Amino acid sequence: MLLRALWLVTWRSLEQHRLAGSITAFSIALATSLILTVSSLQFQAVKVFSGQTGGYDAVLGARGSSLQLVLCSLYHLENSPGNLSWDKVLAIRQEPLVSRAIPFALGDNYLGYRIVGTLSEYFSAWEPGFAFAQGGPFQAESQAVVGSWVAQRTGLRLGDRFHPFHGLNYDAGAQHEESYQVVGILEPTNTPQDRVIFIPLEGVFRMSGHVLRGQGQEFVPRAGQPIPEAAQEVSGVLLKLKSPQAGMHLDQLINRQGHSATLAWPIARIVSELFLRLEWLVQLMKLTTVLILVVAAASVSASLCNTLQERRREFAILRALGARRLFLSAVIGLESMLITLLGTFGGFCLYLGLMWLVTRWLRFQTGIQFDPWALHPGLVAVPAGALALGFLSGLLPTMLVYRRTLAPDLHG
Amino acid sequence: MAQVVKTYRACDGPILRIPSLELAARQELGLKGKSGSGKSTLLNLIAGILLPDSGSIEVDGRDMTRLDEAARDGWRGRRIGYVHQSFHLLPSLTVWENLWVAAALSGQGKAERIESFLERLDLQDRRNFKPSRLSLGQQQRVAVARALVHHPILVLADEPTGNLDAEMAQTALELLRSMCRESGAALLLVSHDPAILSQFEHSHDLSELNQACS
Repeated sequence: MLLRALWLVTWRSLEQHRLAGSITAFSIALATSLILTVSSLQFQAVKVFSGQTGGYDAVLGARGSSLQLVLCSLYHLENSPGNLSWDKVLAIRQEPLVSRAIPFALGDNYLGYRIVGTLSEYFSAWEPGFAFAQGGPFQAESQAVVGSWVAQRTGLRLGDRFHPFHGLNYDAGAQHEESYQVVGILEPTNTPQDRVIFIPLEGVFRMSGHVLRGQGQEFVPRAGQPIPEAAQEVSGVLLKLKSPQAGMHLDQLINRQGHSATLAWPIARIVSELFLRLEWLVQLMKLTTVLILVVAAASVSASLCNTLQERRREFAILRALGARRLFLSAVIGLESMLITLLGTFGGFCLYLGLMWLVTRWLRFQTGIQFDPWALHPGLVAVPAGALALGFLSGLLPTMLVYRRTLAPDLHG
Repeated sequence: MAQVVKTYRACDGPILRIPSLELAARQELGLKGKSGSGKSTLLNLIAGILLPDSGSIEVDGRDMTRLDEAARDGWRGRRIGYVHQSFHLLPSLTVWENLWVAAALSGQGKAERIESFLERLDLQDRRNFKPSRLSLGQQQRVAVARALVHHPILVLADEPTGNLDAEMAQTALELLRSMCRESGAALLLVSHDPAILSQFEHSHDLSELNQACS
């Protein structure tokens, strides 16, 4: 019965101070949602980036940044650090420690979507595998396979022809003469592969304006004329190694002893380096949101302390009716917890809305699919932390109520 | 109440010094007291809200001065009803909830008794109203009901008609006395109004009782 009375008095008090309570709860909601969103994206980003390597262990490319090489080859971000001559492609393909080597060439786009020149093996070799919604892999140099997102956004359909544009960024004045026919459309993979158009390597080589410098000398391909292997060059080679020891061996051979190429290996470590570089930013964001939460909790405390003044008489009446100091303290403590609980619940709803927006935006920008419903440690830690802060923020007003004497409030 | 002395820290001397004051079960006693005469302090001492510096205050055979604060709170909640000049209804609660909370704090929160009080005081149609929507007379009736809803043995009334006009004051006084009689509770009423006090068979002047003033 006492608990029911406690609940009734607390709830009615919250109703009476609903404006102040709502504002405080909203500030908690805002802080909670931001922390949850940052935590979720950070947690998922590591998993998403580490898990979308297509089964490849390393990337061989021109001398330069390993991270740049990984980002441009697997995530279709950044520029390629340079080109690799065909003899290096052949050498690595013949390397007994390598079980699979798929070359790729970048440098063109269609309406801003990257065009990747590669071999038709690319589709069968990718793990966990590509599924075609329509059509199949390209067979000839003027054919193309379109990622699901590109098909959706550009309206390209099976049998359609399109003209690529030179460069990785769309420039309407840089259109190539050649056209490519869509022979396959991929099922969505929720990875950056959805945002790419694939054409045969030779298709890239033969695009108008492209000059090949495989072995230093310039070569301009002409229609009907074969391209000598010595002239061919690619942006990199995706490598599946036979063992981790193979990676160490090739790392020694290419990165430490060689001077003309870079082996980005192991991919997972390079991706984690990216997150290490961004760690300060994530920590700064978390710190900011935690500060917002602390300010929100302090505002709970301040708001309750303010209402204590106007509620002196109310508490004195309750004490005159036989309520103990503990009862009044419990009213304030419960009120603080309810505001925090409401704020945390609101924060969770806000977080889901925010995640829905952010994941859509990230998908649009990068092709990477984050899950708004993904489970992550923050889902437990953040609400628990918020509730603990709510409890702490209620302590000061609770103590003030406990210490307050009764008679002066009732008759003063 | 015997040899009770009460001093406030801010004052030079005691505000109350009462050698003896007795109230029998079911008795009605009127106390005349001017503003600042210590009447509220006296009622707070009897209710166990304040403790005297010395002396003893027995209610129903129990010395309030020997109980710790929690026990006094519990005792007050169960055995004492309080009616204040400003009614002091809880503004956030409805009429029904004001009565229920008072009963619940005394460990009784029976709905039937609350319903019978609402019926008796003609407040049934106001049960879900907040105090701010009630007339003064209605607030007074709710305050009386709240003081008696938990079967107290003693009702303390501090200027219960002070905010009412003469006609309403008379009605309220009659209601309070009849309700106390029905409930079997003693009534100690403090007022400065001679018209109110003249209706009591037993009455004292606090300025005569209180030796601190003489």
